[in-house]
Amino acid sequence: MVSRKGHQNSFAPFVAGILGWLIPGAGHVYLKRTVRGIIICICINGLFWSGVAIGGVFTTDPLKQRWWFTAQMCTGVSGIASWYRQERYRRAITDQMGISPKPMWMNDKQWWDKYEQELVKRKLMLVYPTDVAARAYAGIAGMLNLLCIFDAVILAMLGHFGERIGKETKSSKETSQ
Amino acid sequence: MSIFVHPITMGRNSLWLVLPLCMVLAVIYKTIRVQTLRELPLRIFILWLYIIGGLVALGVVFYLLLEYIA
Repeated sequence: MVSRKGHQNSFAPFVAGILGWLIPGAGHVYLKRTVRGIIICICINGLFWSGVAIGGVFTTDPLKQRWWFTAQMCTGVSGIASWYRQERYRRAITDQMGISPKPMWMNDKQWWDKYEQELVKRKLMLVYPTDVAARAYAGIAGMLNLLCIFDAVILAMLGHFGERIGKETKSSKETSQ
Repeated sequence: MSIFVHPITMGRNSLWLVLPLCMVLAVIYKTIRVQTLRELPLRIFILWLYIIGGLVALGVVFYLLLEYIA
């Protein structure tokens, strides 16, 4: 089995990586692996937004869940959109409460108590086991996209463009030439 | 209560949520690994069974450890 080798382009790994991060699967589409790219796009975005559907707007939480947040941001546009929604909700809530949008320092107990009480009152607070399921879905979607980004970058570095051509196809091409 | 805003209420028996998660994991891993797309569905199904089987085996081992050793 061999892949079609495209023109060596020094920017290709960079472009494939950025595209793959922005829109999951776009890196593979750029490498002319369209079907694989579409499968990756549907699965990763589907998994991420399933997580957000389970956990609600605070599934993405850069203040309290930094590691999950880092993993979620690997989904690119979906992660950024979810982060933006969370920021909007948090700012709207803290504005209505008359407190700062972020705690002055991470262990600001007074701020956290007020904020979390308000989240519970508005039924926005994530509790066990919903938080585990929601954040695992959204976070693992990000980590899987990281795997796809690495794959796209390495394929681009090796100059592998397009689907692999089977032995029969290759030999038949050679015979015809 | 609106979806994508409020969290849904889940019982403690939500282990079935592992099944679609493992399925997506198998799909993504095999999508980037298989040589030809024709063999993709079978490879995905086999890997999915392996993951579920592995998790069940781990669950049994931990259960036995807790019941008879701890």
